[in-house]
Amino acid sequence: MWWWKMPSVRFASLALVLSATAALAQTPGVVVPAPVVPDWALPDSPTHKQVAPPPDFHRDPITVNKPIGIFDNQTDVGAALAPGDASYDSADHSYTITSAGYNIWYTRDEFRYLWKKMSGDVSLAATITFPDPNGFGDRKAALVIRQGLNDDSTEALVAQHGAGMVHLARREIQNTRIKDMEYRVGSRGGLPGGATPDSLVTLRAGRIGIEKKGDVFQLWISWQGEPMHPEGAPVTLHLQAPFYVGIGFTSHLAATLSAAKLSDVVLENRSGAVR
Amino acid sequence: MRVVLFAALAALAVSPVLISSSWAQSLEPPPPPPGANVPDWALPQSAAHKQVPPPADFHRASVTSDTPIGQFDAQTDVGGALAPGSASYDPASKTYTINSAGYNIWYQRDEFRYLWKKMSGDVSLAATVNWPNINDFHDRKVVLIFRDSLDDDSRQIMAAQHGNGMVHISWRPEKGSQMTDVEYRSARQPKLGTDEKGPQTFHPTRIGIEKKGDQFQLYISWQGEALHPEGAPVTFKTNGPVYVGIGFTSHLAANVLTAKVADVVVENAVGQVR
Repeated sequence: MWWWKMPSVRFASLALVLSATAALAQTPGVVVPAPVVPDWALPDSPTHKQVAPPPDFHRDPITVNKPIGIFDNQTDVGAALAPGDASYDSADHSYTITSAGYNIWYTRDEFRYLWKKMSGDVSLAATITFPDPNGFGDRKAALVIRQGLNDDSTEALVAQHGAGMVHLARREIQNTRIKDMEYRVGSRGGLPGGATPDSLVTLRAGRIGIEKKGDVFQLWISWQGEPMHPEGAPVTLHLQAPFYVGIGFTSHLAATLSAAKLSDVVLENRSGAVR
Repeated sequence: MRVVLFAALAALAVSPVLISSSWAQSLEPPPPPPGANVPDWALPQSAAHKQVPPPADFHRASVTSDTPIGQFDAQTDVGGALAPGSASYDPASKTYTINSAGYNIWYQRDEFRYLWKKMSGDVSLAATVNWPNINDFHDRKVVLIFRDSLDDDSRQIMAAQHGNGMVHISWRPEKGSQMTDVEYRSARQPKLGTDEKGPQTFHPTRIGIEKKGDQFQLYISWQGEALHPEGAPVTFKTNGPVYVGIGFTSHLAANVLTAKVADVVVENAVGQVR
């Protein structure tokens, strides 16, 4: 779809979608056509092989200027085809983030990001749950440290996926393909829900964290309530201060909203405080 | 040339990610050796066969040789595999070479070569696993294992590293009962512009297991980071002295394969997994 690559077409289409969505909110009964999801933005499925976005495809971030909890602002990085949202529950210090978004991968990202600007070292950790247990397996809640709000920014992030996988991912150079290290855990016989006593049942991490110490980023995990521990080797990434630090979520579905809840968020301006 | 080689080795030494990437294993088991009489139940999972447990009343006597080896007092072919096992120790490289056949260490009974000593109290056990041929059958495993007895269906708890990089803590809570485990896998996505397909396995640098009373904690270092506890400890009741040691099974009833187990720590105390 060559026309989609033309910025004017893209923004016109997006504006149309957004205004149509707004119209829906105000005029009950009006049927609004679903946003057009480009082929490249479809996830892997039995009928579709997932591919990277076109090399020159980008969308500007949409920042809403709404402080939330400990974060200064919220942005739809990569402006997914449906706008995101977030709420904060001061009773249990939890953030519920709603977002569409084709992915946080390849050369560019689409996700709702709750952030603040920081310099120096960082410890960031959260307990992640997904309100819809049957949602798309590749949706992910992420703890993200990025240079900018542009969709192809350099970044280091740790993410917990709907299907249970946890990874440490980094985009080392702007607009290049992201790389990761992935961890998958399961049990035969030790968790409920297996079809047979020998079936592998996924174990979901109890809590994840990311630590920035200079240019070194380390994934932390507690799988089953054991004390948080470093998992795997750290990665190196240089960010210019100040950079963005925060939490985010993507449904891994270009135009379909889903949600994640991030509880007991720890954010400190020093290393060694992931807990 | 020598300089280049040294530089390459130095790069490997400081880049655990580099050494551990892109290893492939055979998912399909090799055929049994000619003349071997392997029962159907002992065949591993393959495209043509669904793996099943041994018959409920099936056992084979274990075969013990009172030959001390390295840090261990004796050696046993637990479950008497269809081909005998063997082992050697090289003090210079602090490496055990274990050769073993064996259908598996799973379900209600085991077949593997076991190097052991009897111990009481707390124990720290850790080792580095090296595969002489990474492309051997993927489900073979090296175990760091605690057992009540040398019987093939003994109660037991272990940390095991598989040929495909998976590490688990697994246990048989009652004599002759089925086993339970918690399994850990690490990988990365394929590199752009290469022939790599699907997740590329990270093989751990080192594994360990710590016995603190009746609490057993798995330890892993995935990529050279300090050994750390992985997952929750498992409660496993012990009664007096237990067999403690290292072992290997090929996960092939009659095919002998080889594993190398290096820098083994076996100490009668907690906090020594390193």
